[in-house]
Amino acid sequence: MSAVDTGRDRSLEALVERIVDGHPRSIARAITEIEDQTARGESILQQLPEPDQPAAVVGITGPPGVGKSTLINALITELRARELRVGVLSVDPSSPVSGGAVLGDRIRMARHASDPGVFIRSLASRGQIGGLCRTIDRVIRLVHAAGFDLLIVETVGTGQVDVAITEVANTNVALFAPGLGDEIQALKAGILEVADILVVNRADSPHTRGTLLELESMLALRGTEQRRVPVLATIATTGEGVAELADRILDLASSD
Amino acid sequence: MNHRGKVLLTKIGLDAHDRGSRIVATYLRDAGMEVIYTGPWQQIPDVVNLADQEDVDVIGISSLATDHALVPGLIQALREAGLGHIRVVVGGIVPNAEADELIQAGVARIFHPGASRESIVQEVEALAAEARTTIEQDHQA
Amino acid sequence: MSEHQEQKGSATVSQGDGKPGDAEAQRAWKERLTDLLGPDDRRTNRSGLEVRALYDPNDWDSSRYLEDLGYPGEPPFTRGIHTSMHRGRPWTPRLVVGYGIPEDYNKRMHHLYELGLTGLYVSPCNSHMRGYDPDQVEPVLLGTCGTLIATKEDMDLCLDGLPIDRESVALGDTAPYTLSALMFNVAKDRGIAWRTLAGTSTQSDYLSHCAALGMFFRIPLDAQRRALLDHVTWMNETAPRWNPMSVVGQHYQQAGATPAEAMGFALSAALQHGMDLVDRGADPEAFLARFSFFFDVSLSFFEEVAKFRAGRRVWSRLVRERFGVKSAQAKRLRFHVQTSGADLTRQQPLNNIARVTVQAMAGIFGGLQSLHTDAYDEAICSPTEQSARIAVATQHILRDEAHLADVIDPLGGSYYVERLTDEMEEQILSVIRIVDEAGGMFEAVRDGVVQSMIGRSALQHQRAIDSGEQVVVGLNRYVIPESEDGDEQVLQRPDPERIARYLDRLKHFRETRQQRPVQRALDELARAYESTDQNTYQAVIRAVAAGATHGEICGRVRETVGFGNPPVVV
Ligand SMILES: Nc1nc2c(ncn2[C@@H]2O[C@H](COP(=O)(O)OP(=O)(O)OP(=O)(O)O)[C@@H](O)[C@H]2O)c(=O)[nH]1
Ligand SMILES: [Mg+2]
Repeated sequence: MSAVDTGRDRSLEALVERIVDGHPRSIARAITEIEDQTARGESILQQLPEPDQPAAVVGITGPPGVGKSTLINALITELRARELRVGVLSVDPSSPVSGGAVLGDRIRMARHASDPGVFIRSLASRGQIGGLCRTIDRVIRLVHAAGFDLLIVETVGTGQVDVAITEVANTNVALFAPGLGDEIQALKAGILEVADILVVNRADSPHTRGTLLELESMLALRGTEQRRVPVLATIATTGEGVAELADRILDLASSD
Repeated sequence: MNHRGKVLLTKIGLDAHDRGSRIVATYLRDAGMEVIYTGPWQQIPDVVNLADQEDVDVIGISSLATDHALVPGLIQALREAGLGHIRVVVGGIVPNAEADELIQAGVARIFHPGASRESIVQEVEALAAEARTTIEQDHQA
Repeated sequence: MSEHQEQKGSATVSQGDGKPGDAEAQRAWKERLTDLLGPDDRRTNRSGLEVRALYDPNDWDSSRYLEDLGYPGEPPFTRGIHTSMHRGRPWTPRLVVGYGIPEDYNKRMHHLYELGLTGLYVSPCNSHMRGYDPDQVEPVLLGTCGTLIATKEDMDLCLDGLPIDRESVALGDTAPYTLSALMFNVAKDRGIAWRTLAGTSTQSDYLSHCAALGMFFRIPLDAQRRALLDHVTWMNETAPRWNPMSVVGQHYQQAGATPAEAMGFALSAALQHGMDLVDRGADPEAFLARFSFFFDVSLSFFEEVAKFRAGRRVWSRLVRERFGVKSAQAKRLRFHVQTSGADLTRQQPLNNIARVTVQAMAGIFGGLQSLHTDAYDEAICSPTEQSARIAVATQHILRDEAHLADVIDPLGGSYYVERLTDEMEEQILSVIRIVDEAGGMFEAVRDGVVQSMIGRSALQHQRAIDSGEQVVVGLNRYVIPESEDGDEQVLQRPDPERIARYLDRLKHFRETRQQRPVQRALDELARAYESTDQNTYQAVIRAVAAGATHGEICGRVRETVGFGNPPVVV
């Protein structure tokens, strides 16, 4: 990827055009270039047209196994019913030893694999801490340029370090599992401060009410001058509560 | 290329025994590869779209029953979608006679039970590199 | 050769019986041994327990004989659950037979029957396992791993001329349990009273399926739980000789769990099912007497013998503690065993006959009640007629020629086996503790705790094979070129014409039956699953009677309760 000849330029232009048209293969290839931090990837980004409006990026974060991917799956269904095009970027950690990764979030979203209005991509964190990968903001720019109305970013996080997501997302959804008394206490300084929506997923559990109350009282302790943060309950596996979550997300996205 | 290959490990058809694919996923990860893992019962059109969006280099199909009989159909579908560069490997129980048929249909490699960790890792990595080269050549063209 | 002499010499030393002075003799022998083997000679079994070179009276407290071993037929059943064990009640040779269309299955079954097989076993095609009718899947996938069964008519053909009124029948049945519903309807049509039917729903344990075998996962975990409890309740009331609860340890071990883990998980699952039944008001003295278990037996001979002996002991004590049962009947760990397919190799497949023989011996010395010996080609394809015959003959040779059924628990009292039994007991109990801490087996499986333990053990075993530490003949040692393997492997694909004929028949069945009753029965089924108090299995029995197919029943249940979504743990 050294000298830029005109032939390559033309192919680059064509590629960018296809990306803007929302052509999945071109988006996918370009993401690989960006992830690999190649010169070609840089050129693609430079050639992308300026967006008409900023990207609406929803960050979904929460502890391992809380149901993030399952909830995103349900959200996609909901957003598709509202005729929005959805891009999903799911970040999983790379092994610090080998650099490899097992990316398993898509399992939960298999239903949307063949919907042209949905683009899902798994990303490995590749050495970046904080639950994200180094290139996430650039990948977001690219997928946004491809005309997706809403971008959802899934990251694993336990509360303290994952504040990184707030730097790329403009709506932050934090997920909790019912019955996490002590862990919630530990969250004070963390995600609770930056989250825009709190969700207790797995609301089919009997501990849900207690956890909802606990979260609400913690929010109340922050004082009245703070912005209002809704606390919702969802059952990702059945889709219960997801329509309301979508409402709140879209409200926030349009007010930003 | 920064990473050492991106591999989709999946199962099509009816069987769901996943001991083998879980072990292989770990092997490939420990060798520095990025593995998309889907679990069983995937449909061919979905696998094709998934491979497309994830821009994978290799697809590994695990088959312990007779599900490998669907692999030629997968390869056909990949080619029709313009994803002919993706190398397809099959791991699991494939009787000899049917193994030949799979190779003729375009399967790059069959890993029988007992295939060593080294051979799996090395060959998958080499196939991923091959797939990448094919794409680079496309860029040049 | 000097080493050989040394070891022979050492045998005299170990013959002490705890008298003072033995300690001195033992120490001296150990020194000589260390000189020979070096200080680093450390070996472990699959469950991770250290295996020493020799065991002696210090390893076994024989004064606890009555508490820890007792006599066969008496708690804690370490030596066997029946008074006469194999001497009076030889085990039942049982082969999993599943192949082709119902007529093929029936022919194969009659053939095996003539060879001396007794128990019947119906293993359906993977399409069935997934909850579909054969015409809902790709034809090329049909009939190689099991028999095509969708309708009552199919079941009737499968069992044509077979004595289901006399012989016990094992059915690879899982929620919503259509297979047994098909058979019970066939029995009814043949005028056989349900209360006389004997058999087992061998795959009824949804927890093992979910944790170790996503294969059967058709509906969500809580719906599976409901379906199982309904099945057990209905069977206990209607067919008292049927064993609706078959707890499966085999799946865990095939998926890579160690023998101790597999036993621990199975017992934890059984506790869960038992607690669930108690919550429904069932009487543990009654339902526990009908619990049966299904285990894998690997090549790790002594470890497996100890696994079974320890498992019996642990179970009899656990049910006393947790359910307060008193009768011996309710405390017995009755089990079927299948030799482990995971130990078989594709290379030099005839070697598998030797492997299966050793596995079978471990199961027999472990005190099993019925036995499936894998055919030597089972690792590659469904058994051929010849390989199935050898598998049955292996059992007859062990029983009648080698006289393994003559003496009860013949390894009992061996210092090694008793010590190992104690150690396996410890390991099994520690697995059960882990599951208890996770909130019981239902939650441990739902949250993937069990799955990740299995994954770790599977990887560890594979690493041992990869490194050559665990020898596998023909695979990582004593390898020969494949061309000299000596056995041509062919996957028996059923004749496509027969499959096509079968599919025509199914179509005809669907078209010519009375449609209204089918729809009504399926609506009833949906209502039963929506309700909290109706018995869903009763509704399945009725739907089959009305002419509904397996796929229609599963489809309707799925529509009502949704798809299963097991956690995937890498
Ligand atoms: N009962 C119940 N189970 C749920 C719910 N949401 C998710 N699950 C289950 O929880 C398990 C994990 O869900 P995932 O969506 O993979 O969780 P995740 O947070 O994305 O997990 P990681 O990406 O591994 O951190 C799956 O088995 C889901 O079916 C829910 O609301 N109720
Ligand atoms: Mg996830």
